[in-house]
This record gives sequence, C-alpha cells and structure tokens, in this order.
Amino acid sequence: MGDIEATWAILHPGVDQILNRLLDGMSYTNWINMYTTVYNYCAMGSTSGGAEHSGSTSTAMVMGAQLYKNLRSHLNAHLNDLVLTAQRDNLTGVSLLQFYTQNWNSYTTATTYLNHIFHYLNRHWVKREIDEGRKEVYDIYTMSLVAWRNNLFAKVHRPVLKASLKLIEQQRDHNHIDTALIKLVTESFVSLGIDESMSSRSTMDVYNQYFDQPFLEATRDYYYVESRRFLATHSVPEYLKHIESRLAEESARVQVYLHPRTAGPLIKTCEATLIGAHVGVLQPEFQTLLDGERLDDLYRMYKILSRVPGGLNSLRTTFEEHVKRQGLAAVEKIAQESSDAAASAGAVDAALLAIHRQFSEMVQTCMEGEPGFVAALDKACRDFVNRNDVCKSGSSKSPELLAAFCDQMLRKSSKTEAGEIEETLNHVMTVFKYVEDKDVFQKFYSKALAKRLVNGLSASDDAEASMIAKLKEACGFEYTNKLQKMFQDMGLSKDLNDAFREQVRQHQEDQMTGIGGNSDLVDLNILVLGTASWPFTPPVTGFSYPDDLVKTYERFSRFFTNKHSGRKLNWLTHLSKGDLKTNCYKQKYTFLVSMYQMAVLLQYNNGTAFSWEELMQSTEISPDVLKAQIGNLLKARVLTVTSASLLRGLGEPGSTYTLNLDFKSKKIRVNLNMVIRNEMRQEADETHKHVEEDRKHLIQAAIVRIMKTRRQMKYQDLMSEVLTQLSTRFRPKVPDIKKCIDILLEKEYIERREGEKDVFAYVA
Amino acid sequence: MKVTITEWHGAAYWRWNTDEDDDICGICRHSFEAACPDCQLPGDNCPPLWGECSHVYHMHCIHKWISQEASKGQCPLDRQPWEDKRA
Ligand SMILES: [Zn+2]
Ligand SMILES: [Zn+2]
Ligand SMILES: [Zn+2]
Repeated sequence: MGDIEATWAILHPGVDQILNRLLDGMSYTNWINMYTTVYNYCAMGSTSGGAEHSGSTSTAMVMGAQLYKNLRSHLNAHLNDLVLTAQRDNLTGVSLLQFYTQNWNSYTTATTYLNHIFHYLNRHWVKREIDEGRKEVYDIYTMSLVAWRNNLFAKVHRPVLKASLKLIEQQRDHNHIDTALIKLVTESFVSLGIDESMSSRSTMDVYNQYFDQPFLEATRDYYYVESRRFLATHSVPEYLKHIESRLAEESARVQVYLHPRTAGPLIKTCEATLIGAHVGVLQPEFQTLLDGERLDDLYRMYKILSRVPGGLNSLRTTFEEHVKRQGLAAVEKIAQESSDAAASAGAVDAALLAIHRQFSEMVQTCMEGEPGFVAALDKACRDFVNRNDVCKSGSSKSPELLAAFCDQMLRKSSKTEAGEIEETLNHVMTVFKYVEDKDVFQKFYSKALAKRLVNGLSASDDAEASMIAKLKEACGFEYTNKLQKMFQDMGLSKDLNDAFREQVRQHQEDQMTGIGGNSDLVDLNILVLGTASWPFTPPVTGFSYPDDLVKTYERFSRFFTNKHSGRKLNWLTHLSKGDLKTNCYKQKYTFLVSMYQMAVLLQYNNGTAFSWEELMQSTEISPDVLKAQIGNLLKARVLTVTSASLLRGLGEPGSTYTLNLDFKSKKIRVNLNMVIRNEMRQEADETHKHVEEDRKHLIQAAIVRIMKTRRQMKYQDLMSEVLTQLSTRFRPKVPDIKKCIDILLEKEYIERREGEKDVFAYVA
Repeated sequence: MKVTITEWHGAAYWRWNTDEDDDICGICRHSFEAACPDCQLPGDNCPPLWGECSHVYHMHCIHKWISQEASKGQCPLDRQPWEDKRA
C-alpha cells in the first residue's frame, strides 16, 4: 500500500538530518532504510494501481508524484528558513557572501546525497514524466537547484552581486580579498542556469544576466575614473606600463574566479576604457618616444595601440614622417659640410644606409615587423632617397650619386678590403631598391664601368661580377646584359691582342733570316669594343696619326680586317692614350699622355717652338679639344708660352708654344692626362639627356606593345597601363606619355576612334 | 729624339662593314648594329651576311627566309638565286 503519510514519516527525519546536520553522520542502516523506503513506495504503485498518477495511459504504474512534492516542499521550506535567517541577521558584504557560499556548499552536498537516496524515484517516475513531456519535473538534484534559484537566489542575488562587485573593486584597489568567496558565487550562478525545456542542458543565462553584465559595467565605470585619475598625475610611458599591468591583472582575475567566457568581453571592455578612450592622448606621445629613441616604450606603445581598432594608423604616419625627416636631415648635414660632389656621393649613401638600417631594426624589434610599418618605412625611404637636399634637381640625381659611390668602391684606388666591398655593395642594393629612376643609375653605372675597364682601373673582377649579379637579380637580365657584354669584349680584346703580338713575333722571326727588324712597331694594347654595349660616343675631333704611330696603327687595322671580314674599326682617339719616354731633360721621365697630347709632344722632336696654326695643321685636332689638351701641358709646365702669346690668349692665331727644357718633376711618372672638370659635368648632363631620349623610346615602345595586344583602349586605361609597365625602371611623367601618344598618332601607329571620345585604336 | 713612344693604349669600336646609308637589314628593318628580332644581343652571334647579288641581311633573317618554301631560294629584293658571297 503506497501510504505517503507513513513513507514520508520514515523519510522526513533523515532528509532533515542530511540538510541540517550532515556532519553528524548517518549510519549505514539508516541510509539503506531510506533508500529501501523510497524503493518500496515507488515500486508499490505497480501492484496497487496508479491512482496517484494522472493523465497517463501507461500500464506500468510507478508511484512518485506525492513523494516528489513532499520533498520539494521540504526543500522550499528549508530554503525559506535560510532566507529568513539572513534577513533577520541583516547580512551584507563579506558576511552575506560567507552565508551564501557556506549554505550553497552544504546544500549542494546534501542534495547530492538526496539524489542518491531518491535514485529509484529518478529512475522511474521522474524519467517517465520527463519522457512524456511534463514541464517542471526534474531529477532530484536539478529540482533542488531550481528550488534554490526560486526561493533563495531570487531574494538575495542583488545583495550578493553587490557584495561581490564591492570585493572585486577592493582587489582592484590592491587590497587583499578572499577570492574563494567570489569563485563560489560565480560557480553557483553558473550552476543555476537550468534550461527549462531540457533539464539536462545548462545555459549561461543566470551567470550572464546576474553577474557578467553588471560586472562588465562595473569594470567600465571603474577604469573610466581610474584611467583619468592616473593620467592626470603620470606620464604617458608610465600610463602604458600601467595599462600593461592592468590587462595582466584582469586576465589573472578570470583564471582565478570568473567563468572563462568572461575573458574576451572583459579584456575588450578594459581595452576600450583604458586605451580606446585615450588614443588621442597616447598617439601624439609616439613622436616624443621616437625622438628619444626609447625602444622599450615604443614597443609598449605599439603593442598597446595595436589592441584597439585604428590605433596604429596615426603611428604609422608619424613614423613615416619621422624617418623621412631623419633621412633628409642626414643628407642636409652632408650637403652643408661638403661641396665636393664626389665625396658627398659616398657620404650621402652612407647616411641613407645608416638611416635605413636604424629604422628597419626599429620596425623589427619595436613593431614586430608589422606590414603597415614596413610599408611606411619603405615609403619614407623612397621619398628621402629620391628627393633630398643634395638631389634638389630631381629624382634622377640620387641614382647618379649612387652610381658614383659604386665607382669609388670598385676602383683600384679604393682602400676598401674585398670583404668590405662586398658588404658595402649589399648596402648599396638596399638603397638601390628605393631608387625610382633605375634607368638613370644604369646609364651612369655603365659609363663608370666602361671607364674602369678601358682605363684598367677596376679593383677586382670578382667584385665587378658580384655587383652585376646583384643588379641582375634586382632588375633582370635585360638591365645588365650590356654590362656583361662589356666584360666579354674585354676578354675578346685580350685574345685579339695576343694573336696580333704572336703574328708580329712570327713575322719578326721570318725577317731575321732576311733583312732588318721590325722595331718601328710600338708596344700596344688595343681595346676593340662592340658598338652596342659601350656608352661611348665617337670622338668630336679629327686626328692625324703621328709618324711614329702610323705604322703600328695601320698594321693593327689590317690585321683586324683580315681576321674579321665584314667588319671595320672606328677608332676612339679620345679614349686612347700612351706613355712617352723623355730624353731631353737631365732626368728621364715617363709622361702619361692622351693620344692628342702624344701627337702634340711628338712634334717637338723636330723643333722647340710651334705656333698654334702649325700644331693644328700637323695634328688635325679640332681647336676646342686642342685648347684643352695644350692647357693641361701648360699647367704642368711641359710647354710654355711667351708673354706676348699669353696676351693673345690660348689658342689665338699666332700664339706660340715652346717646349720647356727646364721641366722638373719630383715624380718619375708624370700624369699629364688629367680629366677636365668641365668635361665631367658636361658628360653628366649629356648622360641625363640620353636618359630622357631613351625614355621617349621606351614609352613609345610600351604604348605600341600595349595597343598591339589590346587593339583598342581608353585614354585613361592606356595611361595607367604604361605607368605600371614602366614603373620598375622609372616613373614616366604624364605629359611625356601624352607627347608620345601624339607622336604615335602622327606616325599613324595608332588612331583616334571616330565618334568616341578619348579612345584609341591600333593601326595594323 | 726628345720623346719616344713606349706604350700605346688604343681604343676602337668595330662595326659591320655595311654602307653607311644602307645599314638596315632589308628583311627585319633593324640596323645591323642591333640584333635581328630573334636575338637579344647584337654582336658576333648575329652577323650580317652578304649575297653574291651584293644585298646584305642579318644572317638569321636570310636563313629563315631561304628555309621557307615560298622564297624559292631567292633574294627577297631582286629575286635572284641567293648565294653567300665568297670572301
Ligand atoms: Zn634582319
Ligand atoms: Zn640574330
Ligand atoms: Zn639581292
């Protein structure tokens, strides 16, 4: 007989003891007795009919509803008593938290036991009720949590939350608190999230609504005030450190006593309040940190501002401007200190390299190589490399200087060690990367290389080859093929000279048996260059070979045409030179002379003084060139002029030039073949002019190439396509492209489409 | 002799021995100092070739032309049978 009165009479004292005096212990017999009583009550239903059960069509009758209700009422009453106690004692703050957590602990322990004792009820009656879709029936443990939520939590959650937040605030103010209290509170709030529709599933609703949201709001409020108070009395770098430690504290807080899902929103809230709200104060300080090169603080600022959206934007701009200013300042300093172009070429590049190195290291260590900062550095470098104080005249000056710097490095006179040269060349390539007008560099580099090769001034073939390899890697085969061809020509010339000498020797041996020798041939070394690769222009003057040389000259010319039919030689007299031995002074000297000077001086074997007209006539050198060459001989006091001639001026009709037989020099080898400054500047100007002409051709070729494949194109599209195609070599100016389009329209390579505005078509 | 030459360092360009005013290949219209369209670099590897008819083309250009059946082995300018000029 399922007598609920009798059953509950047996169970009631046990339940009461478990709830209130669990620590007193319960005998095994008692335990088994309770368990069996529940079993008997529930199982009995199957024999005595399901009077208790309502609305079920099931034949298997299990009793339980009344027992379930009795237990629930008992729990409710127990919890209401607890609430009354708390209210009576007027608990607040820590004592309320202690009350809440202690009772939570003992209550959940107790109901865990009850859940075991009522196991049979859970297994059968509860299970069936749930299976049949009855709401608000749970297993005993869940039912106990629902009871806690409805009877206790509902009445105390507000003061409990308030006490918890108060405690957290105290901890944020760096007071010691009992963190276990909050940990239990949050755990209990999480446990109370019971999904009404499916009790086996828990939700975060209770935690979110009654703890998380108010906690985040309190956090925002706390740091709103705190950050302002801190900034009012501290510097920005101090504040950055402060943020760092606050963020670390908050992360630790989650670990210790909050649910893990609070971590994300908590850090976001802190970031917004501590960083986002103060971006306007933090960002301007970046400049100060850069000025002071305070790497640790820079890194900290980078890390902290990277946490908020858009936090780095103004930093990147500030950085870019700073690098640019530093670069320009470095160059300006050099420009003021030195007026010598050649010396400043090296100094400028060294300065640019130093700046680049300093700031790329900074980007790596302080900005973790963040792509935005890398781009800002590149942009700044490109700017100051191409447009600075020394290069006022425009972006093409910088590559000219860079090429001059390379020339200094690769020349024999350079005192740099081989290893150092290689390192410097690597650095040159770093600057080269930023040079916009790579075509200008190419022109000047190839000029300088040609001169090094022709004059035998190259310090090492290895260094030369290594530099060309670097340029090839950076700009491709086409960029360097002429440079490589120059080296080939040097090799071919050497073979050719060897063959010539061999032929002469053979000839002499043949002649020994016959009559006379061949001593009227001069010891020679002739460079024979391919026209297309070498940047030299033909001589601007005529020239008559002096008698002493004419035989050798003719012999070599003949030898060449015989060896290579279908080719002829064009002599570059302005690049030719030689050595003269003197026999007319006490001391024997060797004069290093240009071919023109050689021709002039050889005249003096037949006299001691010649007039301007005589010299012109015998050498056939043009007046301008002759003037410069004689000028050098006068300066060196190899020749002298009478004061009467001096009055007429150098190169005036009737002026007379006398060999100075009292010539003296400390050096035995006397270099009379000095480069004339004017010529150097003039040559540089010409080189720039050549670049301009080449560019016109390149632009036209690009337009034709593009139009040939696209057939028809809008003006704007054509313009931008040309710009992209050529950007690796130089930056074409829009008016120049326009001009080239006009030229091609005129030449009828392209035409305007009729009836369509600014559309061009390719003319096949 | 007051001064005598001990060394001479000369320099010269070489160019193809074509007429100054006719130094363009009749096939590709490139200068002989530049390479034919198939070659990257001018120079030894891309020489001009004279025919018995006295016309001159890039070696590569005339060989390519002759290898086409339509050419009938004739010089493109005068339709005479093409024969390399003997040196
Ligand atoms: Zn051709
Ligand atoms: Zn070719
Ligand atoms: Zn012909």
